[in-house]
This record gives sequence, C-alpha cells and structure tokens, in this order.
Amino acid sequence: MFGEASLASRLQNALYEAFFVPNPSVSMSEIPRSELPAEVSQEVSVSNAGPDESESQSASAETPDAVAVRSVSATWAGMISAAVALHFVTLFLSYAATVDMSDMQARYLNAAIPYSRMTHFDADQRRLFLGHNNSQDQPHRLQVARLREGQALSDFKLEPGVEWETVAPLGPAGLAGNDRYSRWMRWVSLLSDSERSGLAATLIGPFIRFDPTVAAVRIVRLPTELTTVEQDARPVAYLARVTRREDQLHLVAVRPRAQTTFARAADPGEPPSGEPPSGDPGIKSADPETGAEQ
Amino acid sequence: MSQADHVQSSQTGNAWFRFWFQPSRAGGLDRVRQGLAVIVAVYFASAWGDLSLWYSYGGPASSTNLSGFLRDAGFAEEARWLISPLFLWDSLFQGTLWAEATWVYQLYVLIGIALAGWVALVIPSSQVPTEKLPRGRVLRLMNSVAPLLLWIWFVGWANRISILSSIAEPILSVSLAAIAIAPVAPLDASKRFIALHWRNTLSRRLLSCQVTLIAVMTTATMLAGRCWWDGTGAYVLNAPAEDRLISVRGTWFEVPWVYESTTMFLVIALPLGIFLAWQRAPTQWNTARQWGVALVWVWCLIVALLSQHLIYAATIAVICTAIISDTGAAKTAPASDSTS
Repeated sequence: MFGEASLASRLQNALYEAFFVPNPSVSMSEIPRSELPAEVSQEVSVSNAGPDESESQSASAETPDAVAVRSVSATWAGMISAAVALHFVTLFLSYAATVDMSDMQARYLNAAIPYSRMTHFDADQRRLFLGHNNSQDQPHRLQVARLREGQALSDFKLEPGVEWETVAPLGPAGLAGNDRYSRWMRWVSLLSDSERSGLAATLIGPFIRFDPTVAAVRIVRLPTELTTVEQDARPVAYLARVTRREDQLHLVAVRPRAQTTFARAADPGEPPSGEPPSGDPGIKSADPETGAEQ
Repeated sequence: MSQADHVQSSQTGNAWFRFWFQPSRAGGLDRVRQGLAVIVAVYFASAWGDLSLWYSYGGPASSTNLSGFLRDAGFAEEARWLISPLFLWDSLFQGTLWAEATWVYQLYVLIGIALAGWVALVIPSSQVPTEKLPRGRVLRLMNSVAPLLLWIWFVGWANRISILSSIAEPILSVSLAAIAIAPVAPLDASKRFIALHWRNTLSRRLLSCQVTLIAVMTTATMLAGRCWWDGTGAYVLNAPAEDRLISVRGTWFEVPWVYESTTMFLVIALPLGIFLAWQRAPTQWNTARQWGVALVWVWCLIVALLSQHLIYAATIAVICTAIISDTGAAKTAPASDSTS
C-alpha cells in the first residue's frame, strides 16, 4: 500500500516536472525582494498596483517576499526565434493567399502543409477580408422539387412551373448551425462554377438520400440589397435531377443554356460540348429544360 | 549551464531577445486566457444543435462522406494532415455502431466545453491566495496543461469539420496555441512571491504580433475589393437580407454619408487601433494604448453586428488586449547572478 502511494506520488512528481517545471537549460532563480535591483523592485510594485491585477493577487503581493525569475538559455532562445520567424512567414503567406497567390507562395504553402494543416493555422483561402460584394457574398439556399402524389420519378420534368421548396438553415445568422449550412452551400456553388458537378453532387447527395419524394435539387443565390439586375438574372448555382437505381442515388447535373462564342461542333479528339471534364466522376449532362440525360 | 549562457537582456542589449524573451510577470495574460476560453466554450456549445444532422452516419459531413469528397477532389495528400481524434475514432471503429455515432461527437463537444470552462473558471479561482481551495500538485498540473489540452482539443475539432470551418477557426487556433505557452500564475500566493517568466513574454509577444498581422492582412485583403474603395463596404456586410443579424433597411444607416463613413472607419480603425496599442507605455501615450484597444473593440462590435462574423470579431477583441496587457512587467531582468 505504502509502495503504491509512493509510486503514484513519484509518477505525479514526474508528470508535474515534465509539464510545469521548465527545461533544465532554463534557469530558475528565486531572489529575495530586498536583493532585487532597485529598478525591478520598483516596477514590480507598479505592476502589483495595476488595475488589471486581480484583487486577491494584489492583496497577497503587496509586499512580496521574493521574485522568482525564469529566463531562457541562448541556445533555446535561438531555436525558438527561428521557429517564431518561420511561423510568422507561414502565417503571412497563408493570410496573403486569401485573395490570390503566386506560384512561389503556393509552393511554400504546400511545403508547409504538415505544419499549417495539423495545427489548423492555415487560412486556406478563407475570407479574411469580410466581404468583396461578389457572388460568394450572396446567401445560398438549397431548394428541392418534390414529386406529386402518385407521380413516378421517370415522369418528372424540370419545367418552368415546378415548385421549389427551400431547405432553410438552422438557427440565426452568425451562429454555428447557420454558418455550416452557408459554407456547405457555397462549396457546392464553387464546385459547380468550376465545372465539378460530380463533387457538388457528393456534397448535396446526403441531404436528400433518405427522402424518396425529392425529384430535383438546386442551389440558388439569393439577391442582396446591392446585387444588380444582371447579377440577379444569372442562372442558379447548381441544378440537378435526381435518379435512383435500387438503393443508389445519382444527381444528374443540368447545365443552363448560355450564349457562347464557342463553336457548337466539337473539334476532333475533343470531348463533345456539354460533356464533363475527365476525372470528374459521377457527372452527367442533361437538357436544361427537360432534364433528360444526353 | 553557466550563468553566462542565460539570456539577460540588460547585459546583451539585444533588442530581439529583449522583445521575445525578457521575463515578465506570470499571470498578466489571465484575462486573455479567460476570454479565449469563453469564446471556445460558446463555439463548442453552438455546435451542439445539429451534430446529428451533419456528422452522424450518412450525414453530409460524416467521416465517410467527407473523406470520399476530399479524395475525389484531389485533396487526399493535404487531408492526411487533418489530424483529429474524431477521424481516428471513426476509422478505428469503422463498420461498427460506434463509428460516426452522434454520442461520440456530443461527448467531444462536452469535453471541449468542460476544458474551456476549466480554463475560464477554475484556473483563475484557484489562484485565490486564501486556503479556500485545495492546493496540490494535481490541481497545479491540471491548471498548467489545461490551456494546451484546450488548444489540442479545439484543433481536433477544427480539423474534423474541415471544409465547414471558417476564418474564425484558424485565428482561434493560433491564439489558443500562443496562450498555451504562457505559464499559469503560481498557486501558492501565500508565499508572497512574484514570478517573472520568459514564456509569459513569448506568449504575449506572439499574441500581439499575430493580432497585428491579422489586422494588417485583413485591411490589405479588404482593399483588394472595390466595395472598400467606393464607400459601400459597410453596406456589403449587411446586404444579404436573409443572412444577417440585424437589418439596417429603412434606418439612418442608409444615408450615404453614414455608411460611407462607417466603411472608412472599418478600413482605418483596425490598423490605427493596433498601431496606437503598440505605443510605448510611459507618459501621455499610455492613454493612446487604451484608445487603440477601444478603437479595435468598436471595429469588432460593428463587424459583429453588421455581418455574421461573431466568433471572429470576439476573438480579435480579446487578443488585441494582449498588446497592452501586463504593462507593469519588468523591463529589466534582475542581474544574472541571482541564485536559487
């Protein structure tokens, strides 16, 4: 019994020393107040009388008996200084990349991924700038079109008269529930804008997987008080028809028709117009009006 | 270790070492630590509501779905470094009922709140010099590691939510890491001694320089957008009618000179406030330091009200106080011949 207590006590001491007592290369000294240099002694008094001091602490430390000083060795200071410098270079380049980044910057940030991702220090192109009045500032909403009673999924057509039901975010703006919803929908919109509808479908799929009445899904950008008529007239951020085979759910991206200067006939060797880019799994194109797969 | 090896800024006169490692009074960052812990507690608490919707089995951000997305998007290499106890748990128990279970996420959030509560409430109260609280090494050990644990726990969560995290998480993470370096003030206040510690200075300087960098880069990146030049920037923050805390529609805020002045204030106040806060303490500039922090607080209040950046604004408001905290710290360390 006594031995166990002693072992526990020693373990406790070891843990305490590992976490609380500084490295052996760090000096620790405790000197009586009377032996302090006059300047320090005076400054300590000032600090005790400071308004930020807790009442209890200032009461006990009105006339401290001693001052314990821990300073760092030159070797450690040098190593920490190098780490601090690297840390700030990484932070600077990461924050600077929130608008755009150079190749060199990208290479450095790629090399720093083990440090910046593991610690979550990396801004990772998140919006440090609050707002730039672009399409990403618009609220994004998920909307679903449901089958009418008795209607089969194969009979559903994406027509202008389709009724869309908005899936609202949880909680008020600024709190976690609302934030998560907004960020998720913005991701879908970004992926769709960059022609990666297959990935967008990966993000949207789980929302509707267990609801067999959903026949189509879209992400809309709501107008803000500063959007122009031109911005409001832009096509939806993402539009897809739902197809189900057995237990599998597929989202068939529907591309809005837009006027373009590109030739309709594809060059030989190139994928036909409207085909998904290679390496984007699960994406299919469909007619914008009927939603039929092409 | 010879005494000559010790960094004593009074002897070396090296500004760099004096800036980063001059021992200063432990406990000077208590308020900053408390403030950050309260923010983290609120952050975790606000995540509670829809955990089952997002992270449980089959949810949009479940481990399976998220890792599948990251792999398909070509982020597999980067995602390897998104280390989180929750990812580890879900992969360890993959295929069982314990993987991607809501209760695991709820437990994680509860532990996060408990850790934040410990840092915010227990550490300060256990510094009471009277004999009200049991003193001992366990409490002392817990107090000293709790801020570090809180940071690790928070990073684990931020890495787990991955693409759902915003700019608030990286800023909270760097701040929690910096504050975890600062030693907790000694418990045995009855011994009536003051501790000056180099780690306290390093922590304070890290926080101060980080918030300065954030302020400078926020302003610089804001200016990359036209709205911050044409005077509509403040209005842009409040323009999304469906995603705002308060509506300024039909109020005096819509008068052009009001929102244009607010825009100008938002551009200028943050860097100016930080600049003033960095002024040296003595003489009449002491007031300027307080004004600088007050200016940043007003900036944070406006940003929080006009936009949805609540956690972000609260974090900036707390960490900017690190610049002026502990002004009474020793500027000159005692001579190196001090003995134990």
